[in-house]
Amino acid sequence: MNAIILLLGLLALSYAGSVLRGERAIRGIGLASGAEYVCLGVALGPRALGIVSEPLLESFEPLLVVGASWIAFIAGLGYGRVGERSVAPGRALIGVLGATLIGLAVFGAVYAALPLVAPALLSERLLTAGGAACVAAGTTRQAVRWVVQRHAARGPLSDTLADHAQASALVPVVGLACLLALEPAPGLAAMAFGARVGLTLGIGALLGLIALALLSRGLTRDETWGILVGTSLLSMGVAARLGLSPLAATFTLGLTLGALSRRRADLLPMVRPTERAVLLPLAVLAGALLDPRAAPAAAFLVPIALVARFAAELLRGSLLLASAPAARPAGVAVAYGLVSTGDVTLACGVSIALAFDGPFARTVLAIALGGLVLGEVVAPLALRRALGRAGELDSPEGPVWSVPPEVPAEGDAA
Amino acid sequence: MSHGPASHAPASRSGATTRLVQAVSLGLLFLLVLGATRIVPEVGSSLGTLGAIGFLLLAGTLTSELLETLGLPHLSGYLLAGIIAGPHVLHLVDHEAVDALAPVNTLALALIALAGGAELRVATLRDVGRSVAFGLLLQSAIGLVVLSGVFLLVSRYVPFVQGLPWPSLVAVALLWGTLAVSRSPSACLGVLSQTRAKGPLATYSLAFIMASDVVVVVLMACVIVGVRPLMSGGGVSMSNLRVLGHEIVGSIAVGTSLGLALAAYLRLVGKNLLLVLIGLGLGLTELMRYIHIDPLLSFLTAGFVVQNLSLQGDKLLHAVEQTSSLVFIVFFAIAGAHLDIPLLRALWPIALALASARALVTVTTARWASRVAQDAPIIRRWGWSSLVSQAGLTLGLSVVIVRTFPEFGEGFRSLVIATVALNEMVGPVLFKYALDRAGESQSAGR
Repeated sequence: MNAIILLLGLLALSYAGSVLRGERAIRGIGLASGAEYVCLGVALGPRALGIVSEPLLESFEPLLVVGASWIAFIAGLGYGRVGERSVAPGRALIGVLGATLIGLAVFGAVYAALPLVAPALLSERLLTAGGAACVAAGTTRQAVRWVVQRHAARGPLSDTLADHAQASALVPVVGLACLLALEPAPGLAAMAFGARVGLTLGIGALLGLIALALLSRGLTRDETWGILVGTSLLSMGVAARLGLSPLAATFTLGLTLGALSRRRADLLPMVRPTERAVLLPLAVLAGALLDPRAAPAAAFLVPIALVARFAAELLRGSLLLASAPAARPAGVAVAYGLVSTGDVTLACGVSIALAFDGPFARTVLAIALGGLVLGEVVAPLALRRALGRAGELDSPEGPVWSVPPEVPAEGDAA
Repeated sequence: MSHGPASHAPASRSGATTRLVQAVSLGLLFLLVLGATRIVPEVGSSLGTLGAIGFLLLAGTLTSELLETLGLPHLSGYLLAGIIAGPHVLHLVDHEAVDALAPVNTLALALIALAGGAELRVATLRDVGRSVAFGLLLQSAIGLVVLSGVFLLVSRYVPFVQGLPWPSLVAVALLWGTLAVSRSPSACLGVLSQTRAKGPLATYSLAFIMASDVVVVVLMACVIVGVRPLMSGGGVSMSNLRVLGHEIVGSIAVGTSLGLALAAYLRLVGKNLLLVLIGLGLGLTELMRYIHIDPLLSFLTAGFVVQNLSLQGDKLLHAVEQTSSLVFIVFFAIAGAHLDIPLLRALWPIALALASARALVTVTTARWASRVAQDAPIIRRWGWSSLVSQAGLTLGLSVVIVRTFPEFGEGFRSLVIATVALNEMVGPVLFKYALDRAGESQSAGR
């Protein structure tokens, strides 16, 4: 397929994405994570119908990186906020610790299983286990928001789960920064590992501060876009040049801006409508990148990683039941309400697949996509059941199409 | 009255602080990119291109804001940022990145043409039609003849025409003369967009340059057909004229259809215009090139149709303005990065002579045409100011010449680039100055 035709196809998908996000009438249609578009990508990709060929995918690699990093930027900008509400630091910390627990469990399982099921990947054991941990640690904030919006849920458990999901995004991003810092550009080889991770985050923080200074005076919408797009692209470019993670750099850029800018309330409604428009083409191309032949170990490692995640989720759920009285009526189902992964996981999986060559990177992508699809099947049902038991659903039997006032419809900003 | 200066003091302090913040930010950006390029001199992936876009966007914006204090137009800032960051000065943006940014140029040219067409209102054309018609006729005829003559005069110093027989030399001179009467719609739109100028000078300049676009495209095609026998010794081929006719009529037909479709979309849907314009600018341009339709003329026609055959013109203009504001910064910064400084150093005496002659002819002819057309005094005085700039259109036409006459095309293009470089730097400054002096730009009163 011609690159221009594919580009137009991706623009059409972006168009569809922004319509899906923007139209009140059809809100709720589609899956929270965009997993259906991943499946579409698999079908169109080189290993199935072959409409999107391997060379064509290669030519679109920069766009994939930009899409993934832009999603990270939006996640960073909105980090620590659910709708109009700030996440309490204590809850954010618990969310981060919970995601770290999941990540460590998956890391341990994959690291331990690798010699048995995939000896060919032993030379990249740390990278494989680390990559698997990155793409399994997070919980998509959209899943909780989606169920909350669809079923008009409200209450302390909904808030707690939304806060934990929101806070968990930090873990895969920092994990990714560490992973890419393990193999930087030759010019940075002399630098210590910790310094390389610091440099990744520092690039984003520096550009975030520059953007902050430039945005502090009254700017037009176009000028504001210029600064946001310019700093984002530059952070991606500089990080990529140094062999560091563009995604982590742009997340930090967004985080810095979100934490320090007085204009965050204006910025979020500006950029959020672009999220779905970027996510759908990214999901399609990520699906097309999936190559079972290049990742033979995925057949074993995907189930291992997912089982490890589900087991760790049980532990996290038990801790949640013990620590939060509001969660107790929900029972153990609450644990699986958080297995849904989404945009940040997809972005991390794509980043790893593009940053590293070889079977391990494709295996990590398979784990990311496997988790995405399975989470989509399990999490909304579990979440609905948990919220229903907790008495927080207004309409437990079916979807409602109105949006509770606490959860602003972000598409409306478009 | 005594509190006047005091009341201005906080504002000027805040202005000074803003400029200081911008200068420090610009310095930090350069240091960051300089550091990255020194640590890793070679870019291993095409992500360098994206970094280049980000850098040019930020550096262009900041440089233009800083130069604004000197009264210079934003375009000069974008160009300067591109020149400094480009491959010939600091090498923060390398040749590969500059070449890889070609789609930005494609998109920018499509948006420029679309906006240009949409700015041409029939009522406005009726108002300035007489002035524009006289101006175009005299500028094109006299400019073509005189500037071809000037080229012949200096040809003994032009390296790539040495040894050419006399008829071929005349052919090259005529091609030069035709290129010399081309203007820069992008520079005109860029300066007007920055200054938000309104008034007779702004209207006249816009109408003249957009109309001259069409004239120059057609004129160049005719001249190429006409001079081909001088180069090869053959006769004028009617098939070339047929191809030309097909291209022009086809472009207008496609542009009309596109304009009607756009108007319908704007009326019935009217959303996601950013994506629609990017899709049209990139995708449709490629398609048009493939079927030998001139994208510039088609988009110009489309914009004209939307403006004059529907009620959606303002909506389109607003959408194009929103989309193009960022694209233009990168477009002009790339143009700056593209400037071949060593070439300019080598060819500067000839380029300066030719650019000066062009400026002189432009000013003289414009003033004469204004007198003949009995224009308003403001047009008589400043009507020439927007006509000095040259940029993307001229360079695009020079590429056509390279393709058509490969025997001297590359040398010819080098001289065009050197001359355009001078006009590109001086032209926007003159136009902004004129708008300020005419009291039409919003900054004039400051």
